[in-house]
Amino acid sequence: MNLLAAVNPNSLPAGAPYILHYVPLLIQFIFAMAFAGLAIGASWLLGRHRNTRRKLSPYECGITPEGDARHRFAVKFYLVAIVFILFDIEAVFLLPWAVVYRGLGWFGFAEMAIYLAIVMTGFLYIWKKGVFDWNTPERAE
Amino acid sequence: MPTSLMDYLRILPEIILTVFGALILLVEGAARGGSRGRIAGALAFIGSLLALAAGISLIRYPGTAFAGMVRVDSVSIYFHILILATVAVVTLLAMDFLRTDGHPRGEFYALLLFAAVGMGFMVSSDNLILTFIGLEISSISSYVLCAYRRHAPKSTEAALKYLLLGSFATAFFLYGITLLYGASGSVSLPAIGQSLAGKMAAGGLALGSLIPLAAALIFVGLGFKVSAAPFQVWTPDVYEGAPALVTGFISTAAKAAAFVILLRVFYVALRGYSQQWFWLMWVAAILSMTLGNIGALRQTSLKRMLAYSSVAQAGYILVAFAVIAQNPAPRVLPGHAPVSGILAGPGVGAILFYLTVYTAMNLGAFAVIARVANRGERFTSLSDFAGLGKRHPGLALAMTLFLLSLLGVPFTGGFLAKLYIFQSAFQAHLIGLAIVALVNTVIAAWYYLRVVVYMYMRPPEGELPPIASSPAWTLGAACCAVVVLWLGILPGHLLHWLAK
Amino acid sequence: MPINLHLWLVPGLCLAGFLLNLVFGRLWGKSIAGAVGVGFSGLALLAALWVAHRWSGAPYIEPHATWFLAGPLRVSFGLFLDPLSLLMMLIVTGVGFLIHLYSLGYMSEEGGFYRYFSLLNLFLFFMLTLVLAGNYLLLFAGWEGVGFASYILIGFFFRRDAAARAGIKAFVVNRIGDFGFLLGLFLIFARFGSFNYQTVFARAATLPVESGWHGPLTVIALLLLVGALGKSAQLPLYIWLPDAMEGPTPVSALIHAATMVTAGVYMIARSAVIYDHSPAARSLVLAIGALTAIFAASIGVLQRDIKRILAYSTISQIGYMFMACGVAAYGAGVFHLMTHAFFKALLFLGAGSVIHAMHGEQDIFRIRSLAPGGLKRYAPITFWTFVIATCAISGIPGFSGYFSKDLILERVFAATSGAGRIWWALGLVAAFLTAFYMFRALFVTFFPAPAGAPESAAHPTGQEPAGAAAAGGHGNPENAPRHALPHESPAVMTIPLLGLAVLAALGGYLNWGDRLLHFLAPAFSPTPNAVAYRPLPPFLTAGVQHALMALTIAVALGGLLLAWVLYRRRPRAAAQWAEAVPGLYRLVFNKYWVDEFFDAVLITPLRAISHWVLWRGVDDGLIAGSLRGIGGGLLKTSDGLRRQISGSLRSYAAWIAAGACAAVIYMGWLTLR
Repeated sequence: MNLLAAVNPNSLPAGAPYILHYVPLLIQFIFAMAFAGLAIGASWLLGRHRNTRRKLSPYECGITPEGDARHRFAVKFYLVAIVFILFDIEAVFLLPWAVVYRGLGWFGFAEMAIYLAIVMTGFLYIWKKGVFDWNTPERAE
Repeated sequence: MPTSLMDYLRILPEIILTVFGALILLVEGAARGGSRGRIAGALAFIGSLLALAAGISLIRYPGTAFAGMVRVDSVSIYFHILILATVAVVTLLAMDFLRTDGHPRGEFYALLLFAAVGMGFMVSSDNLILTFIGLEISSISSYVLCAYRRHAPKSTEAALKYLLLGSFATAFFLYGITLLYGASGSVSLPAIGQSLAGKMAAGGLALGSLIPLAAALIFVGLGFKVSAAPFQVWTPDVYEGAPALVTGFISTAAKAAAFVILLRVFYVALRGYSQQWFWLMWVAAILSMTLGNIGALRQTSLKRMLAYSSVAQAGYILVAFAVIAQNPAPRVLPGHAPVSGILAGPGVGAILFYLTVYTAMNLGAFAVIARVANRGERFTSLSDFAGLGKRHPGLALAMTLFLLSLLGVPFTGGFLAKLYIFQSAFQAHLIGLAIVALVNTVIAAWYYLRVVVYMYMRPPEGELPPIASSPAWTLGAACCAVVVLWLGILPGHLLHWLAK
Repeated sequence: MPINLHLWLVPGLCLAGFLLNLVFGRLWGKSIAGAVGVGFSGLALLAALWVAHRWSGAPYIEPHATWFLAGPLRVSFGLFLDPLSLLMMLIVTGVGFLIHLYSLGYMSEEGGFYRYFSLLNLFLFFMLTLVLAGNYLLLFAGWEGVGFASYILIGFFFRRDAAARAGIKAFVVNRIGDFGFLLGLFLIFARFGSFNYQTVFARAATLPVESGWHGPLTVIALLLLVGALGKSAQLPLYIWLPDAMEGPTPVSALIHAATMVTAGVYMIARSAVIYDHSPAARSLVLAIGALTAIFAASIGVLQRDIKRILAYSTISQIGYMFMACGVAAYGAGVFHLMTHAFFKALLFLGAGSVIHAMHGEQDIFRIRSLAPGGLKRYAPITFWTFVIATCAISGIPGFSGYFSKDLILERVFAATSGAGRIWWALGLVAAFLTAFYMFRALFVTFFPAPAGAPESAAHPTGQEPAGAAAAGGHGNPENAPRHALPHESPAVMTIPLLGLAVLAALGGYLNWGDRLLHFLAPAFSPTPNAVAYRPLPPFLTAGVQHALMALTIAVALGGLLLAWVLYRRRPRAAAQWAEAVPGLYRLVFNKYWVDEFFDAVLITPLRAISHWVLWRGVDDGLIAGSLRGIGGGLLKTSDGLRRQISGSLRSYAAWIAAGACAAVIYMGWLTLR
């Protein structure tokens, strides 16, 4: 079958493979790739490459860069970030519940209480494990 | 639809596991000093036994729960029992192991229980979203468990690899679900089966033509989990790096649960397309068996060798999946078929039996390795097993039993398990597949027996520290050995039960 | 309702002995462990005799619990007794008991006494399971079990590398045979829907006799034959048996001479109905049997290690049994199996006694030089029993082996014609060679060196003889003083020798007037109205029979005479002959380089695949593949020799992605097709 016949999905004969409905998408994808490739490729081919020190320096919102960008951060930052994300997402679950809270009644309340209890267990656990304690440098195992 | 008490009853094992997992975390946070791991271990053991009891009691409450998301049928009950028993045994095995290994913390048990929660949902889910969530719960717990010896570079490396590749594979699985939803308009397995059956009956494959793609993608995701070739590449590194007991756990229970999903998705929902996915199973079976067995030949690390071996074992099970594809019993509404009907299908009984035996023997083998590996898991190479028959006859005898069973020597469960699979393949006229499987069994003799030879016929190499005694470990390993022997000598009970 | 024979007692007692020694053996001293081992094998013999006494003569089935049930497959622990299994049971328990007794003396200086006896009992248990099984699957379980027991016992002296390696070799070669056997079993089930002998045979008997190589029964027969070839050490799967001589000598006597290795013959005789329906498969059995007989006999001629001589003679004699089965003379084959069990066990025990006397020396020429004035002076009982056994195996008239071998050759002659007689001729030549090399062993081992004999037999190639390398045959030779004078063995060893000597001498008379053949006949045609006993063809008149008999006798005596001349009268002649045909000599001396052939054709490539393709190629190569493309990957593969790095995450992801692409493309192709 001529793929181009599928450009207009409405013109497809009945019983044609369903995947042919996606042909326009495929064409769109090809064009997007081609355009992006062309733009980058052309600038790389046609433009002049004259690198200066200033050009190669990292761009930091217009402020003069200071020092090396590759710092080592304390692992605690990551830990806190992860914990933040976790509780953030868990808190998000409260929103849809709040919307239908009235409809759910006591049942919904109990469900959410259990849910929060589990979340609080996790919170207690990390608290006791000393995740929030910034002052201990390295906890002994 | 309001939920009833019955709904909660049907997920009671998972509830119990969650409660005990949370309890362990609280105790972990509160307790101080040496008692921590002990309390956690005891809690985990009690929890897994209670959950096991709840799982067994489910026999009296078959049906669906939560608007059809959870299905309690004989398959889910059977695998609940298998998985929960595995958790209980792993808990026993781990009690002293964690201490001697210098990781007395109790999180191990909490993670174990959470992983079991995920597996429980995997085996009883009738809804692809729930399946996915179960898969993720168990996978993420497994990733962390792999990194449990977090000061050992190998352990963390294994976990990272498992995490990254696992996420990669999960993406395929999720994409498959999406396509399936697009094609059938539902994420419920029976509904998908019904919708596809209806479309097939109507004669039109027009909308259904995305199904094969979905099948392929789902197969990629699950093939990764069961370490079927060519998605097995992660297995050697992860199994070698993870603590031996964790490897024992993820190579048995997690694999069994993933096989159940494979069974449910392909056998229940995609049954009408069995002619299409048959070749997926066929190729994967042959690749897994061959690559697994030949890869294992030259390994010197026992954990790595058993990793390859477990790839091969997955291949044998996939043979049975090919059999299933070959013989789709005629049924109008596959999704609503009583599950005893599923079990009666050729090959399905073989899969269940094989997974049971495999769980016992593989877990047993890894338990022995964990023991011999000793503190810090330093002694896992083949030469460290030299002379084990003299150093520690009991361990050597147990290892011999498990290895012979993995090889498939008569009077062990492994023999009958292989026999059923090969026999079902013969009956389905998959002669080529059966012959490849047989040839592979012959190849496998080389590396399994090599370990036995080392244990009994080589003198010990170098100075090895004594192996501390551990009653809990002995009990756990004895459970595995009894199951292997019992199923090898008198499989009648289980088979009878399966046939019911 | 037939009386309950309690057949299970026979293997059950052996199992009990095994378990007792396994559990308590370490606590007990040697005497109790030995007494338990010997006692339970003796009890098993008594139980077997009791069963034989009470047996009515009709095929008897003893059903036990259902073993397992899978769909249409129902397998029980059922035991089965008919003339064939009765005879086998008596041979196994009888010879087994004598060898247990003998072991008391032979193993008295070895470590692991209880381990030895428990394993020996275990072996008897599996062997009895094998012969008493009522279905093919139970037979297979016993089959695998004896293989396992033999594998462990071969490696009994596990500190010796050769013993450990021989054990593995035996197991691996047998797995090849088992592979065929298992396929055969599956086909039997597929064809007949059962593993039970009676069901299978009754259904097979209704099928027509097949011509050609494609019929289902022929395929089954051929696959079963593959299993029998492995277990019974026939061409080309015989290579494990000579190496198996690394085990203790009583083990060689019991497992690798009298019982286990003949299991293949038993299985073929048991499946007589199947083979009767497939002349093609039978002709292959005949050909393999005859070729093995002559092939192994010719190797035996030049061996110097006394146990290896016996090993090759075992292979050769089993070849005769296969020949008999090949012409449907199963009774004759089983008859030879029985006489062979007697005289070969005797030979091995005698050899063990010699090795015991010589403190571990196994090279017959060195034995001669170490025993001044001839070993027969020091060990008269061993000598005379060895003479009886040698006469029996060589087919000297009046001894047991003569009757059975003559019968086989006669049946082969009767069943063939024209070019087919070549098999008979080969059998005759093998008989000549057998007489020659056995008497050679006898003369060299027991008699003093004749005047003018070279110190050692000729070695034009200058190679170190195999026997010398394995001189430490008797376990731990360092335990024994090397240069003490030879001595006769204790009574506990000579009594079994005498018992077996009586059997080896007189066992042939059991078939007087073809009584044994008539007794066994119903076992080979389970349908009652079939012709049970096959009469001889008309052209085999009494005159022809006598002529054949005379020929067999002449051949045996000729072999004796040649050995006498070469090793007693003109000792230089042997070396001269060998120098005359150095190529042939080296070929035979090196056992036709078969081991080397298997090594090169099978084992090396398999290892290479594992090493190069999977380890280097997949583990290492693919990392490079994802980094630098395929061309660089190939280079990197060879680089991997030095840098054994593995585990690049990206390459793993590439694998998974490639697999996913393959799956998706395949499924997509199905969609768009």
